[in-house]
Amino acid sequence: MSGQRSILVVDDDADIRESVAEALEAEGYHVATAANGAVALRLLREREVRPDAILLDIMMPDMDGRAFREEQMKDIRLALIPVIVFTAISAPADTARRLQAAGLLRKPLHLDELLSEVARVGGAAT
Amino acid sequence: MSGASPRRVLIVEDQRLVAADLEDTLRRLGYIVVGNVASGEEAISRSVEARPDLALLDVRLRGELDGIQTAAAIRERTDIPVIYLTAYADEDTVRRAMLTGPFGYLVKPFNERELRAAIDIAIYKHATDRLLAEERARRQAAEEFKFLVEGVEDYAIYLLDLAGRVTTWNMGAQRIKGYDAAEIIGRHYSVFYLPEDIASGKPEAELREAVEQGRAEDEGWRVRKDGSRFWANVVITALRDDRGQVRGFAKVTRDLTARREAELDLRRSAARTQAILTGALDCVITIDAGGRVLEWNRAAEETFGYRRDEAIGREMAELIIPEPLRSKHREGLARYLHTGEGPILGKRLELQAMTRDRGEIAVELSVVRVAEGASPTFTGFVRDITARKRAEMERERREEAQQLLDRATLMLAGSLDISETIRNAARSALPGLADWCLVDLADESGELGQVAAAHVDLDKEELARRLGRERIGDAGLPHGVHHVFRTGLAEVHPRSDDDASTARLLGTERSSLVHELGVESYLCVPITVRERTQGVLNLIRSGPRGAYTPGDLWVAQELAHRIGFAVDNARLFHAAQEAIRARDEFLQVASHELKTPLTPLQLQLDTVTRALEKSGQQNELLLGKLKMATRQTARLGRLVESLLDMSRITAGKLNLEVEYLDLSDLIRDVAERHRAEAGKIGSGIKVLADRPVGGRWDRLRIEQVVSNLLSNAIKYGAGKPIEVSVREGGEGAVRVEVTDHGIGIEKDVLGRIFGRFERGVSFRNYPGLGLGLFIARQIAEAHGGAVVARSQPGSGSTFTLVLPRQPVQQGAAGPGAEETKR
Repeated sequence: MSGQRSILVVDDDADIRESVAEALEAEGYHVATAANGAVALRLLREREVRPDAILLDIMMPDMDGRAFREEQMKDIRLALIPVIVFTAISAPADTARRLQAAGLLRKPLHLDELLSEVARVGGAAT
Repeated sequence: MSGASPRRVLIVEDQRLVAADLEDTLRRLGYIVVGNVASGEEAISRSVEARPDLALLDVRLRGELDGIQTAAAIRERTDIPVIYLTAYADEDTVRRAMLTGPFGYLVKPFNERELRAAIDIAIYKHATDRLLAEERARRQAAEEFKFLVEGVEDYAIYLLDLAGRVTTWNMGAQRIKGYDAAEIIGRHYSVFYLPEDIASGKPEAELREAVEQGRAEDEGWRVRKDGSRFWANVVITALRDDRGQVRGFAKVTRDLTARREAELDLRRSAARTQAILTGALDCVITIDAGGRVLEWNRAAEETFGYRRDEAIGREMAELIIPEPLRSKHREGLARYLHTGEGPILGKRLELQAMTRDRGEIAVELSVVRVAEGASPTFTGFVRDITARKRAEMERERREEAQQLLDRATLMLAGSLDISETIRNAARSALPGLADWCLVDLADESGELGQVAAAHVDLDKEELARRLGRERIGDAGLPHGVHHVFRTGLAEVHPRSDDDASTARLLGTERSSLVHELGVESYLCVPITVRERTQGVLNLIRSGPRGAYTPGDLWVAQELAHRIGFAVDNARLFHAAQEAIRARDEFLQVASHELKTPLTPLQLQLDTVTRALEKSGQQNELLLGKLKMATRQTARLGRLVESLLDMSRITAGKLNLEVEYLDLSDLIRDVAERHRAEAGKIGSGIKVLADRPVGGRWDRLRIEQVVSNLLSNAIKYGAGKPIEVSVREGGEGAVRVEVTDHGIGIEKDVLGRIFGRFERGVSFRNYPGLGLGLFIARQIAEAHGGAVVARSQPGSGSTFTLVLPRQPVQQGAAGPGAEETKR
C-alpha cells in the first residue's frame, strides 16, 4: 500500500467514463480512461498508465473487451493487472470467468457497488 | 435214260476181282462209278459223301457189318436205293434182306442186260416211291389245313367259285353268318349283303375288283341269316391256277361290330371331351413330351389367336411363350422328363404369355401330367388374367400414388427450409412419377426460376440442373412451362422427335441437353399457393414407363398442391422466424442500449447524493428529490432488465450461472432491499430464514425471483404484513414462500397469472409490464423447479418457489401446477 492507487477505465461511452472517473477520483483514485481496447493497450504499452486494476467494458467498437483481455494476457508486462468486467451484456458471470477476471460489475450499478468492487480488486484508494 | 445225266453208282463188294469186273461193266454201260468199296463202314461213309443215285451191295460182306446191316445203315442216312448182289440166297438171308426194303436183287452171275434193267427199275421205283410219299404228305397237309380253316371261329373263311357261289364253309362263317354248311354251299354269296348293296351291284363289283387287283377289301354292313346286321371287314382274294386263270375266290370276313361299337364309344367320348374343352372358359392346351401341341381348345384359339389346326403339331413355346422365357420352359420340360422333377406341376402360377399379335398378356396357369409312361403328355389350364391384373395394377398404382403423395407430404413437412423442402419434393416424385423433375418458383419479381432439379440417375442430375439454369424468359408461347405458369392450367406433351421444340416447351433453347436427358412424355402442372400460380412442377419420363395418363396428372396435381402448401408454410415460417429473430435482436440491442445511459445516470445520482450528504448541508428537499430520482432510475433499470429477460426467455437463451449459495442469506438480503419500499405503504416484511439452506443456483436469477415475488406481495398486499420463509422440502427440494394478506387472486385469473404480459388486476390500478411472474416461473423452471400460487380472494396469496438443490438441465419442466387453497 504505497502511494495513490491507479485505475484504468475502458468504456466506449464517454458519460460512463466520466461518471466512473469522477466517482473514483472523488474516492482518491488516480483514473485513466480509454474509449476502446486498442487505446487502452496503447496507453498500457506506452507506460502512460500503470493501473492497479482495469475496469473493462465488453461491448466496444474497434477492439472489444474480450480482444483486449486476450492481448493483455499475452503481454507478460500487462498480464498480471487485475481486470473487473464492467458490462451490460447477458450472462456476464460466464464471460468474467472465461476472461479470468478478478471482479465483475453489472451495468447499471450503484456507486457503493462500484467502490467496494474496485477497492476489493484494486485496493483501497489511500 | 436218254437225255438224262449218267446215273452215279456205288459198288460195295469184298471180292475185289468181282468188284473190278462190275465196275468195268458199269462204265461200259454209261454209268459213273462214284465208289468201289469192300466194307460196310466204307460203304456208309462213301454213300453219305458221294450221294450216289444207287448202291450195288454184296449181301455177304466180310467185316463188322454184313451187306444187309450196311444197307439198313445207308437207307437210314440217305435215300439211296439199294440193289443186293448175291451168289446164293438161303431163306434166312432172303427174309432179312426183304426187311430192309431193297429195290432189287441180282443173283450172281448176271449179265449186262439184267444189271441194267435192275438198276433202271430200282431208280424208277425209288423216284415213284418218293412222288407217292410227297403226294401223300400234300394230301395230308391239305386235309389238316381244311381242318384248321374249318375250326376257325373268329373268321368266316370260305371259297367261292367263279360265279360267286359258296363252295366251302367254316365254323367261323357259320358262327358269324348263322348258316350251316349244308344250307349255304351252292348259294350265291350276295345273300350276305344288304338289299341296297345288292341293288347297286356291290357283290359283283367286289369280285371284279378282286379279279383285277388280286384282292378286294371292304368294311361295311352285312346281313346274317336271321336278317340282323353286323359290321364286317371283308377280304376277297382271287384264286388262280398254275396257268394264272381265275378259278374262284377265297373270302375272309371278320365281325367288327363290337370293335366298331367300342370305337364309336371312344369317338363319342372324345367328342364329349371335345365339347367340354370347346365350351371351357379356360384355355386347355395339351402338349406331348416334345412340347408340341396335341390339344388346343376354343378358348385357346380366342385367347392366343391361333386356330386349332394351326396350333396342333407346333411347339407350344413358339406360339405362346415370350421369347425370353422359352429356353426356361424347354429346360424345365427336359429336366422333368429326365429327372422327374416338375416343380410347376399342379401349382397355380402367374406369368406372362404372348398372343399371335405379339401382345403380352398375364395368365394364370396350372399344369397337370396326363398320360403316364415313357411319353407323358401335359395339359395346361390357362386363364387370361390381364383384366384382373390390370385392375390389380390400377389399384397398386393408386396405392403407389398415395404412397408417393404421403411420402412427399412427409418430406415436405420434414423441413421448413424452403429450398430443402422443394428438393425433397422433387426427389419424392422419382421414380414413381417421373424420371426427372424440375421445380420452378416465381421469385419476388414474378420471374420463374428453378429451385430444384432431380434425376433418377444421379449422374444426369447435373444436366437437369443445368437445363433449369439455362432457362430463357417467357417467349409468349401458347404452351409449355411459361404458358402453364401464366394460365395455371396443366399440360401433357407426348414425345417429339423435334428436340428443339421440346426444349422450347421446357423453356430452354438447349436442345442438346433435352436430347441427352430424354423426353418420352412431359407433364407440366402449376404450383398454386392461395389461388395464385407461384410456380410449375415439370415431370418428365424418359424411360420405358411411357406416356402420362390422366391418373398421373391427378397425382402430379396433388403433388404440386402439396408443394404449394409446403412452400407457403415454409415462407410463412421463414417470415415468422425472421420476425422473431429481428425482434430478439431488437430487444437485445434495445436492452443493452437502454442500460448504457442508465449507468452514468445512476452513478451521477449516487455521486451527487453522496456529495450532498458529505457537504453537511441540511437540504432535505434536494435530498428527497435526489432519492426519488434514484428510485425511479432503479425502477427503470428493473424494467429494462425484465425486457431483456423476456427476449432471452423467448429466444431460449436464459443461461444460468450457478454457484453455491445460502438461500437463507439471499432471502434476508433481498428482503432487506425491499424493506424501505414495503415500509412506504406500511407493510412489514417478516423473514423466516434462520438456518442456512445451501445449494447450487444462479444467484442473480434467484434474487430476481424472490424480488419479483416480494414486489408483487408489496404491490398487492394492501399494506398488510408480508411473510417470506425458506425451508427444506421433501426429495432434496427447498421451498421459498412469500405470503401476503392483500386482495388475493380470483380463481379464474389464477391459472393465467404466470403467462406473458398477464396480470391479475387491471393495468390502470396496478401498473407494470406483467412480466414478473412469467419471468419468475421461467427462472424456476430453468432450475428444474417451479413457482405455484395459492390464493383466497380478499384474504391474500401465497407464492411458493420450489427449487431442487441441484438444478437440472435447462428447459426441463418443473411441477408447475397451480393450487387453490384456503
